[in-house]
Amino acid sequence: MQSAVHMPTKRVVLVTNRSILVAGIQRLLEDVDTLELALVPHDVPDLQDRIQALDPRAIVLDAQGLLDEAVITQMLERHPLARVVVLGVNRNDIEVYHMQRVLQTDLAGLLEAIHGGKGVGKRSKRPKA
Amino acid sequence: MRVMLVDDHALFRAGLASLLRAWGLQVVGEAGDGWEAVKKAAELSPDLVFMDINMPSLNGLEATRAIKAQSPAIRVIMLTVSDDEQDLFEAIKSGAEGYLLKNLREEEFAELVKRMEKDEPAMSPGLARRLLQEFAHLSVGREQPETATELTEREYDVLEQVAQGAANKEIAAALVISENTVNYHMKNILSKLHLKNRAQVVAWALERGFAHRPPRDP
Repeated sequence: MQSAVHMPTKRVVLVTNRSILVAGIQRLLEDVDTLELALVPHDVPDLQDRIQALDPRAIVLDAQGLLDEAVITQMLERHPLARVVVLGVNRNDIEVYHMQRVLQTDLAGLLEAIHGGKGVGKRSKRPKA
Repeated sequence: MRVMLVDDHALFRAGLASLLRAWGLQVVGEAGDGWEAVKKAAELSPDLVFMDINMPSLNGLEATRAIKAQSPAIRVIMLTVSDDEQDLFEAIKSGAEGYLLKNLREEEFAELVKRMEKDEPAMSPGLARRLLQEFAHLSVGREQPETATELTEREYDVLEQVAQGAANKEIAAALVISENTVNYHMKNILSKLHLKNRAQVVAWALERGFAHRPPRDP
């Protein structure tokens, strides 16, 4: 029997533009028990306020949903403790804005980018009825 | 429906697999490049392959040709960032049964997947129009269609609708017949014209002016 790895839950805001990339990422992240996932639509006028109200430790968004790079700058200014993780369908890297840039291409890499370290756990599956 | 995913973007592939499973499809395999795709398609015999175009070593167009050559029954749908017309035309010529862009919204993709499960064409909005325009442009003037005497009048009606980009459900409504009957006519059309798939039927029909056929006399 595996011993449980206790990790504090980290709140992650997923800025969603309903693309298939983000929809897929949402399902993957929902399955990770160390993350508390919150969704914010990308096209709301009070996007930054909504994110701020959630006080996330990481913000994940699709590069396609960015109006311009000023959005990332605003996020970094308003959420200095958060990692801003930018994904794109047309490139095989993840941009992490938190004093570093990393090259990661898979789910483990995304989770490491969000957590900023090692050790992630998958949500245990619900028992079948 | 058994699906295989081919894309060198591992995170996109993982997310797509998760989406498709949530919608009840069976993801039987994945590949990160064209060579792996051809090998796994032969091993796994999926019903449907979602294929990216830009991949290292063997690209998606070449992999599509190879898969269709070894297993014509496997349906290949391109799922790519490229909206380049040449890629679209090459994909159809290579035997792809559909062409989708990765910037699709989730609900659009869900709708297209439902159509694919019914063996209907899958094309991102706007691309079908470009394909039709290209083939219409290739045909010289508004020639009268070559007479394919082996087609029945009803099969001609179905062919005209297909040339205009209609899905089976729309054809059924337009001709006041059931979808099963439309499927039956399509199978006959494919067989009589010695064509492999709906995309080839569209190309055949457009080359012969079926999209612009004048209405028949009553």
